[in-house]
Amino acid sequence: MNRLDLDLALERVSANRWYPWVVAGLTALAVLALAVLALADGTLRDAARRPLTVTVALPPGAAADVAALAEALEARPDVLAAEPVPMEELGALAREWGAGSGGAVLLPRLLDVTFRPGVRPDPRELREAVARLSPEATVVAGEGAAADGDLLSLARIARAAALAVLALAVLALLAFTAHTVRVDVRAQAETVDLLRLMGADDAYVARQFEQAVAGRGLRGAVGGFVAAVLALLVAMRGAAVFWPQAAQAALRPLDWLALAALPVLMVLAAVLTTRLVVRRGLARLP
Amino acid sequence: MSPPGDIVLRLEGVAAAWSEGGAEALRGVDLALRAGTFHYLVGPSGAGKTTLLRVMSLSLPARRGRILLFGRDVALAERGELAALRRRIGVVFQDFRLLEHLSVFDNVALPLRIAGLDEDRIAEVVGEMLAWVGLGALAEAPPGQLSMGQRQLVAIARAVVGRPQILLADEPLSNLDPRRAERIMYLFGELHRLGTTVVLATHNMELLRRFPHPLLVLEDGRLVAAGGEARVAAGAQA
Repeated sequence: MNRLDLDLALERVSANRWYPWVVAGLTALAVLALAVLALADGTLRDAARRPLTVTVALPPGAAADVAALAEALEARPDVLAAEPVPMEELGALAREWGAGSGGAVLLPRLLDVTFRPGVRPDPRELREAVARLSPEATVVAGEGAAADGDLLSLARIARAAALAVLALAVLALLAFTAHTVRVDVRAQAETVDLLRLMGADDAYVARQFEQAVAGRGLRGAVGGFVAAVLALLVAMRGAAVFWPQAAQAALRPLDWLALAALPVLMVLAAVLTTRLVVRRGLARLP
Repeated sequence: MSPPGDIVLRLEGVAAAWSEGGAEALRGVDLALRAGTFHYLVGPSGAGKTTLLRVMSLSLPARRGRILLFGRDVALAERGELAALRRRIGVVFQDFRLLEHLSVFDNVALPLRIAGLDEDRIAEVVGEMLAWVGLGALAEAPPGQLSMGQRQLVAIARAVVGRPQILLADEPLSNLDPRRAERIMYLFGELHRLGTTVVLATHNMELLRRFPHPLLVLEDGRLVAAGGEARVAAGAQA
């Protein structure tokens, strides 16, 4: 038979009444931060796998040599390949646009420039670099790349912010737990003294506080996790409507597993903190 | 249980005070208690009886001197070892020291839980003990609902439920009616018969006459006499 009741009257300490609520708030914050971290990581990971291709155009009649421009661009360390678009392909495109009925249409010459996986060039730097190689050349497909670059910058900022919030939430939980337990130990000094007189060792006394923190902490952590997941689902649905580009990022099953494990890990960390604080307090007693 | 005749508790020149820097309530007490003995601790109010019991139960540190419990110098014992030594002692506190937020049952069960007994066994042992002291019907009541006499019975039940090797009782019968007091003395006698070393502080002369046992006499913080097999370094034998 197991017994979950404690020898200590911890509910009489006011900090304990707030404990589950504080744990709920910090858990929700930490879960949301971890979700943002996972989404940002996913975005960066996807970008790393997907090579970016931009198109460089030379206007009809330009003096520059397409092959030479392609060679110069390919010499850049971040460029995987720079290939002129075949004239036949351009002609077919022109016909599709309705320009190929007979008259001689002057077509621009195009280069597909593919960057190495994970490389997202700065659009302005790219335009300037292309202009240096050939003043007549323009980057015509740079807008998508710019948007892509903005998203990645945002992902990097979000990742750093999420890491900071996650670390702060965990540290705040540990600090609050340590404070609450210190107050508890002081408030329960007489009971602790009696338990020790009856032969309770430090582990027994510490276990009393650990059980209390585990019970209250888990209640708060589960509440915080549910609230955070609901908020996350609402936010993801909103993103799908208002920001389709960002909504492509999704949490993988492993991410959901990490989100579910986080509250448990936070409570475990709180329990370990409790053990340390109580044992340090008891070590000062004769 | 320690073999009969073994010294289970020895005090060597023990002095103690209730507060750091306070006046000494015990002044150089020398005493050796053998296993399975029963002593009354007597002396006028303020003689140091409660202080001596607190020192013996390791709830008050000695300012000077040495305390050997079951042959172990408690000043040299590790924390875990000290806890194990304390588990071999049952204490009836003068002020009972019941935990008001726990039921009568849980108060009595405390030493058994600390000792790590299985809950089924605890339910059995505590149930029997409460029935024996006449509190079976009040097992789930909080101590706050009990009379002084009933609270004292809970304190006694808690002290003896784990069959301690040493029982230290500070005025354990002061709030009990004669019939109940007699029943508790029978209980202490049974424990003594089973090998428990008993030290019972009392002012009750009637008790001393009806249930005669050797005396430890304290006066002004000094042990001036020890009867039976107890040894005292200074003072007359009672």
